[in-house]
Amino acid sequence: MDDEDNIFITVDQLRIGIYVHLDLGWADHPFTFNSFKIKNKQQVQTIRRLGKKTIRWEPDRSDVEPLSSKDSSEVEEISDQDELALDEQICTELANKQLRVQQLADYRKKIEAVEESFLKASQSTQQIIKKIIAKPEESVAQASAQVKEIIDCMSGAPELALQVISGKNGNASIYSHALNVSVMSIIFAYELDYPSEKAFVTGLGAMLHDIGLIRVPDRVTKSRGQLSKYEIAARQMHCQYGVDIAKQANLGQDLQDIIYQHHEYFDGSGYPQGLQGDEIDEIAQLVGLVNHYDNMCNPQNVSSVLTPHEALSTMYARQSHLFEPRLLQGFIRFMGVYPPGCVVNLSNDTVGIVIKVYSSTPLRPTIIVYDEDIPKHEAVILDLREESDINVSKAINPSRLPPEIFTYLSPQERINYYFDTV
Amino acid sequence: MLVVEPATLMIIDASNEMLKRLRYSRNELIGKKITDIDHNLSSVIFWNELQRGNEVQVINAESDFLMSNGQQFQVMKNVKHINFLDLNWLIVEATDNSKIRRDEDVLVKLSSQLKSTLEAAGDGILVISTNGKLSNMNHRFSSMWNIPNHILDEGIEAINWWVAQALTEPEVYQRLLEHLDENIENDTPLKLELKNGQIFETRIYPQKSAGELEGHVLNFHDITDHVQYEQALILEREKAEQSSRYKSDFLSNMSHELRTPLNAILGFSQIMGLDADLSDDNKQYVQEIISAGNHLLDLINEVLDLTKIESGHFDLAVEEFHVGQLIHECLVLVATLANDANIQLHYQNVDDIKIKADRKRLKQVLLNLLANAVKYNLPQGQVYVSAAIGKDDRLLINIKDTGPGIAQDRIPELFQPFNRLDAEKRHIEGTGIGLTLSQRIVSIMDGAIEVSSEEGKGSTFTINLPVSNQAAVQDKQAANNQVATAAAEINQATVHIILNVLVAEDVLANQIVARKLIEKFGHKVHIADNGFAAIEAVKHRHYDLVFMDMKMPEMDGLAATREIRELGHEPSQLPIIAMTANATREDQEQCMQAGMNDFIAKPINIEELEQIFQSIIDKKILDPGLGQKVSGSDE
Repeated sequence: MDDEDNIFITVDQLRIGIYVHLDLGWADHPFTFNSFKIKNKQQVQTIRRLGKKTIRWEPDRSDVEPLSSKDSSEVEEISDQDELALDEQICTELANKQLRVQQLADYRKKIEAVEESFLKASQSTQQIIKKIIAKPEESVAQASAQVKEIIDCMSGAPELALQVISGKNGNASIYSHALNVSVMSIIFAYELDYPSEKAFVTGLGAMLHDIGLIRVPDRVTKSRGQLSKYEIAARQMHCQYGVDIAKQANLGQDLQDIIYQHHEYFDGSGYPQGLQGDEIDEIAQLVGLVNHYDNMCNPQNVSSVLTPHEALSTMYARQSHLFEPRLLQGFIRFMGVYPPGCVVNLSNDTVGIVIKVYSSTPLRPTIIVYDEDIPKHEAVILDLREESDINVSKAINPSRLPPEIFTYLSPQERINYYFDTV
Repeated sequence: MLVVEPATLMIIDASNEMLKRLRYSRNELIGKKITDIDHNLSSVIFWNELQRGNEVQVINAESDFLMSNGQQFQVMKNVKHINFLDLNWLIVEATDNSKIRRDEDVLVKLSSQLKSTLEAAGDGILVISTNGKLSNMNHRFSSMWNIPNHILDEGIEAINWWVAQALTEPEVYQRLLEHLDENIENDTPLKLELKNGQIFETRIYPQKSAGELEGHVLNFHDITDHVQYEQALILEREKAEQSSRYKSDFLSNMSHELRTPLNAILGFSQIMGLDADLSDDNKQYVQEIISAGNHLLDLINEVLDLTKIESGHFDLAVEEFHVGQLIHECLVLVATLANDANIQLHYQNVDDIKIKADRKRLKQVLLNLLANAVKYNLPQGQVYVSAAIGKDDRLLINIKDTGPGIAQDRIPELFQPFNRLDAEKRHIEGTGIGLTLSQRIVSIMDGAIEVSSEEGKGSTFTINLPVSNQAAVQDKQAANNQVATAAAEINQATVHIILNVLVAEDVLANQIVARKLIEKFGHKVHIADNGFAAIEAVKHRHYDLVFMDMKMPEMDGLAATREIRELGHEPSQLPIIAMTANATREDQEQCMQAGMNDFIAKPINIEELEQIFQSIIDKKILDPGLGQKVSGSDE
């Protein structure tokens, strides 16, 4: 943080282990990061070819001291041939980087497109929920149409990704529990290789699972603090109310089961019936698990909120008895250990926020990285599938972030998800 | 350090240090799966992915290692692939992270404490480090300046620019930023005026760490409401002052307007009254006119007094005097009234009581009460007056009558304006506001009028006033006495001196009245009808006395007096008496400041006129250098 650490050394003093700050525009050098620790000779030579006479280095983050100016004779001279080869390589890498810049722009557009779809879906979902009592059939029809639309988008896609909605679009007022659970359930269903029909039922059931809450008094459903045991009991009635409404709307038995059983747990500790193991409808188990996860990340009582990573870790470490084991494993894999919305430290000492996760590579998410020299709207988006040298070091709690990083990465209080097809 | 076999994830070796830390013996540990030790979610997934071939290594990954006793400790681990001969191994290097984690936790706690404290502050806070970077900021700061998100995102440069451009004078903020060090803890905060009308106050505080200056804390306080409130107060005060001025002007105008015609009525009727050739009938008629005129004058005076008190323009002229003497004077004045009504007055002459009060006003109150005692009495009734010092050092003046008395529940009504308790039906003369006025006057003097009465027996009205025990102004009194005695001696010589009197007055009727009255005293009168004329007259002729009307067209009395005083030595000594229908304190002061010597109220009272002439004459005799024309002889 202190610029008093700014020390400049000549390019001849560079060696492996020195942490350097290039202080160049991102597109003006072939490296992924503007600041990094030199790890091989090529990097040293590439830096020297960049045309800078002096480079800023950071002692605290370096493993070694720079070469003294007297020892610069130690620096390897490279032959003219090699020099040429190096220049060519740099050119290629720079070209690649330009490509990257272009790719980033395209990437951003895609992200935008997904966010727009999300907004539409979110508004539609809110309407559905509002209408459910007055016009149950119309409401169900609209919900079905929406789920179908999502499924049509997803089917045929080689890979699905779960994407978190960013700050400007995904705030508390837009947050839709029904939509979140629905999107996650559908992707999960696909991961489990459910056929389209089954995925449709899953999605619709997930979207409608909490309709019974309309009959529970507002002060219970909207209360942000601890609920008394009577209030808890009142809330639990929403499963029954939901089934009643489902019957009125002529929903099939499979959907009714989802609505009725989505709070049952594998070990029998759930409600309303305390069903156990295989007694619980299969899809209801799936929706119940996803529901459980979303409630941990976006709780009604704000003081008990967990980060997505904490939620997954807790479910894995302490709550595994509540779920069918393979289901839980599958869920964690598909959510990706560091699910979208997580703030993470990377192994190269940078910090970023996970925006996308690919279920096939749970440890290789896509991350927006914080760099104090790059403005927010041009931030580097890192796809860890393509950066094998870098891994996630740990997930951190957003509240630990210094204010400027917090603003840059904008982790949201409410995590909204949508999907992307790859 | 641990060595793991990639295919089976089994631990094949461990360093002694690791064994000790994990509390396993070598035999116990070897053969266990690495996931038994490195067991949290991300690690388990990592090892699984590694088995599948999707992951190869990991650097600086946080994890928890499980010890043999079930406890765990935090580590930072590196997993590297080693190809040694044809063995394929994974080396797990783990460093104990617990202390670092604990320190981090403390840091986080402090950080969130700081954050919540900042957010709880009512003011906007911006912290800039010494090298110009944004250190901290609270929501109040961004909301009070209405900083949009995209500006906040861009950093301190953008924020500073935003704040500056929100001000009517952006340079003020820029200068502040350039001189943060000098402005630290200035007693007067800097005032920042925003274009949208808000006003903020800013103070700078140092942010120090171990004695070193790390940054500057800019504190912004919204004082818009405060300033507006202040301004509103000032406006209210100005309005109130203006209202007061209006009232004051009204009072003096009314005073003037009402008295001017009365001056004519009383003036002319007094003149007529002095005419020896009048028939008896006419003499009586004239007396009626005078009486009625006086009644009207009394009423006007009382009403104006009341208005003055109500609007706070009533001032007391405090002096020290003998109570007994005052009471005696009042009794003399009331004597005629008492005689006509067949009432006997009794006064018990008590000790020599001196008080400090407004003599004139107290006289007014006493006369009122005495007149009442006479008027509302029974035929051949009595009035007893006494004065004494009561407890708490208060002067009590009792006026007791043998009238019909007042019912207990009607006593409060006595002091209500125009409420005469049905006295109208008994054909008793009165204005109805005498007592109201008296009570107000006495209360301004820090006193009260108390009433005790018994129906059929009579009433006692008591004036209760604070006494002043200082024996002041004695020298002045002595001096006055000297002059008085000297004057008295001189009077006995019956020297008749003729004075040259200039009267500056614009109203014809008043001019005639003045001339007639003054000529009755044997003096010579010249009339000037405005200020200019008066100045010219004084320039060309010597006058012994000038009566200057206050309100004249072209140039009024004050201006004329000022000009006259500038004319030279003699004119500056010329006695100028203001003739004024206005008798407010401000007017009196204005007259004095303009250079006037005294004033006489309109309608002109003959006795007052006589006094003035007498004092002028006395001065002339005592100091012959003053004047000239001494005519008359010792006869």
